[in-house]
Amino acid sequence: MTETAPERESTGDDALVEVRNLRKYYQDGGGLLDRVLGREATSVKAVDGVSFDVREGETLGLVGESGCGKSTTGETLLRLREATDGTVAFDGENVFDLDDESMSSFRRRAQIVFQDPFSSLDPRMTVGAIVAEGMRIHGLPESDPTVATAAELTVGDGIDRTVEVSVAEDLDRVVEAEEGVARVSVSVRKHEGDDETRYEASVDSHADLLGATVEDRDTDLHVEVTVTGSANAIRKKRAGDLLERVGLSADQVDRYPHEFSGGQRQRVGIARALALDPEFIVLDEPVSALDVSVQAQVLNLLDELQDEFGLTYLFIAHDLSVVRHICDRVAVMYLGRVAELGPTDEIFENPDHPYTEALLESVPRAEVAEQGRRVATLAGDVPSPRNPPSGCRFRTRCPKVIPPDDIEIEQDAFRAVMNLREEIEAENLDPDEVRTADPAAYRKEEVPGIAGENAGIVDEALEAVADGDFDTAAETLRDRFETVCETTPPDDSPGGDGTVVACHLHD
Amino acid sequence: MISPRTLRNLRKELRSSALAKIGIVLVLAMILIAAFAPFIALHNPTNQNLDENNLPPMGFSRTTEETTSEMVNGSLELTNETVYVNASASHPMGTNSLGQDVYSRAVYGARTSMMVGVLGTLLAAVLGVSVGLVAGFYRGRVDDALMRFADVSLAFPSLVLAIALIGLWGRAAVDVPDPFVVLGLVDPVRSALGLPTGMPDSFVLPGTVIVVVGLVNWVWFARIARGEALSIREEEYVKAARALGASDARIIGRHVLPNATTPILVLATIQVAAIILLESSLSFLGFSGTTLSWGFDISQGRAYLSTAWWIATVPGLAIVLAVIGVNLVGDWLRDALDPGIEGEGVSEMADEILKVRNLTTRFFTEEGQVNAVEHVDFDVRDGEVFGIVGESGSGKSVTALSLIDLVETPGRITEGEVWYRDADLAEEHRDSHPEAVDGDYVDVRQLPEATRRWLRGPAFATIFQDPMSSLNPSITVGEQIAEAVEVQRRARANPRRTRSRTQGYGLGRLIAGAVLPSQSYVSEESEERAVELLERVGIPDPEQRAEEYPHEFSGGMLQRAMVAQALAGEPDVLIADEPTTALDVTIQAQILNLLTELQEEEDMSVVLITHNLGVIARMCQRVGVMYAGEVVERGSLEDVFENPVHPYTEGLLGSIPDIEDPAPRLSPIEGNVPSLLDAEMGEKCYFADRCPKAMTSCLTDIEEHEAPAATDDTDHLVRCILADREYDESEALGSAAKQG
Repeated sequence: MTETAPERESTGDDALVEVRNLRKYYQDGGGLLDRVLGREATSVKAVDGVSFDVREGETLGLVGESGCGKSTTGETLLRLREATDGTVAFDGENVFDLDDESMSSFRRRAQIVFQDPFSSLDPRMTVGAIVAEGMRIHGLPESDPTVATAAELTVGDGIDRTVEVSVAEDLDRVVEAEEGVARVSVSVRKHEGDDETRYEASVDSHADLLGATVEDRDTDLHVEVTVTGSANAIRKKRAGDLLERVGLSADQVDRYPHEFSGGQRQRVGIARALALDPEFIVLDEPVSALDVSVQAQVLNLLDELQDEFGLTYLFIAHDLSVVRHICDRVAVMYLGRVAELGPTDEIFENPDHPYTEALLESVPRAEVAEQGRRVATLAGDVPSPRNPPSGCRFRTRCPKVIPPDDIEIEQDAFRAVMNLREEIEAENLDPDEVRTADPAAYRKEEVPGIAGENAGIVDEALEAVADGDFDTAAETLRDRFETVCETTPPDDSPGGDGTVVACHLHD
Repeated sequence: MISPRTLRNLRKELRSSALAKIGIVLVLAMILIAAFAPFIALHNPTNQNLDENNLPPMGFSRTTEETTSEMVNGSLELTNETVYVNASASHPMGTNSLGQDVYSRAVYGARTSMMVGVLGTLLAAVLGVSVGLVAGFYRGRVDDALMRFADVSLAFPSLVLAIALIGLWGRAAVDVPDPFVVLGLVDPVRSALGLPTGMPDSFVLPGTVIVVVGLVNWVWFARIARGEALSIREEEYVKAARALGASDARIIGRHVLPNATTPILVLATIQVAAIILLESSLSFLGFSGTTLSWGFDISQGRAYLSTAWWIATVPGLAIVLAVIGVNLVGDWLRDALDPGIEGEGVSEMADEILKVRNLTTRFFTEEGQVNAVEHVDFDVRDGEVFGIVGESGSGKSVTALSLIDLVETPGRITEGEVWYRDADLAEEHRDSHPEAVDGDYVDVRQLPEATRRWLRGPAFATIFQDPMSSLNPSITVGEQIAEAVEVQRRARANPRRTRSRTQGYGLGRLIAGAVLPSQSYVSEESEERAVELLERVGIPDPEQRAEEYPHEFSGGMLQRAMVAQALAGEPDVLIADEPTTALDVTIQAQILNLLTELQEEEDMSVVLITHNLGVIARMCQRVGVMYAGEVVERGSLEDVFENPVHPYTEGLLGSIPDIEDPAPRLSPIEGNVPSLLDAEMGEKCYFADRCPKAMTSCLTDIEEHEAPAATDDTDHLVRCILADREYDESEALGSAAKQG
């Protein structure tokens, strides 16, 4: 894939994450035994040249069937797996070149939520410890030197002296700053005893983490507010706040994950991702394992959090209805590549890529009109990413595969010929069967709807098969029925209304 | 590191298992004996007394020939005399050939065994676990090298390896001062008890042996730790920690190790037993650095087995008890730490193939009774697809299993009838089982077990969600389908004697198999039929694919093969439990098309169980919605989808995003699926706590009501009071009352 497409070229200010030509190959084999036996390592091309931007504040959907590389893309761009090739720029900096310090800052700014609410939480840690783990690793909460601190003082009855307040610089570790200032309310009261008068100060909030003391100076009273809670206590408090924010209860911090239901666990996973105040979250099938009623709760929660914290999401999913609901733009992946990318409504209402069309067609709708609908299904399975098809990855199943210009052939018939060609190239046909059926009769059965010269060529190939000569048969068919879809990988071309589509039909 | 839950499991397992108690008592006894040996031993175990050698234990006596010489009349006369040697009270278990106290030696021997067992295991564990975790976590060359080394070293018997190493390094031993003696506690206590004083002031720790058994056995730990690390490193919580920026050391220490402790702990207990045995073998062969060892005593006693059997028997018994005790503790730990999976009058209308009435299935778990399926009624008509939809835990899959009587313990169908229409079967059982027959219908649940089993296949067939685990990975797909065909063929030929391939194995069969020319269970016709079936479900190249194993099939193809297997018996009712849930949408569409096609052509009825409302809409004519084990609403697809009455059905329909219309916000059902524990359920509408329209009347038991039906030919039934009254806000159930 080249980068000539208008959309992906744009590196406007609004792109938070820019993924360019990302590749991730897995080596298969290559162990000691394989090396001894001289077996060659093959690579599984899980992600094979993917480019897209995630714009600030948007939700980009990454959708596709299992094995299309969508989750690998998500994990690789966060550098949870080492990329084979390509670049990912986060806020302008290449994620793969970061030094330790910048990496640590990247980890704080980009987070991930996983699919499986059971395996994504360490069963031996309390949810409080799980949510606080990130803060502990990064030594948070730390004080922001640019944040000022202030106190609002309430002076009790009968105090007629000047009261001065000083607030610890690191108050913002406990109290969230608003407009650059962390505020705390302090009250001073006077206790008149028989022989002496005592003054007492107390903070009105966060009493378990903050302390206030009064010093009786000659001229005035001096109140000092300090952070008394340990870092652990502050983190635990914040973990509780986060649990509350995601719809759980703060007093559940000491519970273990197994005490929660799937939906609640997924909320814990979201709280963990939020703990570091990230800007960008990869949501890797966050609702796929949940029941529909709970799924809707979590989707609504994700929506609210995005608004509240100004988050940018990369939403990985296979459920197209969910993607339609939550995403601003969608990238449809097939076998390690992006087939089509564009605004959600555009993709769902006017899909340009035949794969997108087939995918949308397949989804059963939950409505009465759906009853008995027969779907024009794609034939066969997704090919192995170990040995993906040349040219366009989708050509082996594409119902709109493009016939050569110089021959006349029906679309369906051409698809049938291409299927036959693949069977021959894979040597899957049984020569005896073809021979006993007679090649011409076999052709009428397998490839109906062709005649004349085309039929002659197919018969010729089938005769070769009957003789067991698969090479000649394949050669014969390739000579006549070679499609642009197999010779040339499609470039990204503009489709309708701001979409980008990798298909020769749109060149 | 030990969570409260683990402790609870440990206690629970201990209460329920007598063996675990025995194990703990044995191990505790061994540990106490070893620790307090100086107080418990009757004598210094190394003190020799040749006057009192080979004394028998209490209650036994031993004879010996004693020769006395006497000068009688100038010539030496020898007289042989049989002398009885009696047991001595101060040596209750006798003495050995050197006159040492057998009991005291066994007591001190426990020290050696326990020390070597525990320290050796500790060394092996520390070494093995560190190497294994690192290798498994980082993989690559370290891992390759480790695994090859492990394979090679496991190929040697550990005893041989240990002897070789001791031969190389000698038998160094360390004298460890006995703390009780050093502190001067022993003698006063012993004299107070009236026991002889002068116990050994140090204890010989066979250092080389400990190092050697550790080195011989660390590979086991390395292998298991590596395996655990390999799988844990792929867990998402590890990825999550990495995404948080955790260092490798933190991940290994905080996430991998704690989660690998269970198998390591279990292995450790087994290793303690193995090492105790290994140490005994080594000292038996004379390779130990100490003479105070059970194995050494056995080797000493070997020469006297016929005359003084107790010398070898006492330490022998000690070894047996110690090893049994440690192994029982190991079993207990394993069972407690890996608890496994805990727990998940007929109308005369003749066009119903199946009528389910009052079906109730419960699971009797340790937490209590779980009401998985509660009084479920529904009918399946000829040639229709009846859908059961519900969320996980709603009881839909257990309903499917209950239909075909495949509920496994601790579950049991406690009530209900499954009426299946089969005129022949009804006729056959009319006299023998009158209660099980009503007109043309038979109640499958009341038929004899053999008949019920026979019905699986020709009457009911099932396909499950996960085709990969439903097929045997080591048998070709074709053979598995052929087997299903064969079972049906034989059953039809002789309905009384259905046998599966596992039955009829035994010595006779083995001999017959060896003598007679090979006879396959599956006949050739069945194999041909299997290929036909594969073709029928749209598998290209069926002859060739029939020869392949399940792992060579893709998910979609496997599900097709499962369908083919289900078709083998030409069933009247196909029960499909989440048949497409594991599949991608494009493949799902293929399988749904196939099911529709087959259902129409074979005129089957299908019970389709799924959580996917879209799948229900595409496939079903009628549908039942399940919640908390009950069918809360059932009727035609139109009634349920367009005029839902039950607020749960409404909520379910409102929860799913519409692919054609991106509504800004979903209206989910609040809260979570309720617990199905009997104790927590009570007599009320189970949905009341989550229901936006709950009223005070919902806190009583809710009957099934008839609701307005859109179509004439169907009943629309709802288990909700809203079926015949309007929602009244003045009776609304407050959230506090909901909780109660």
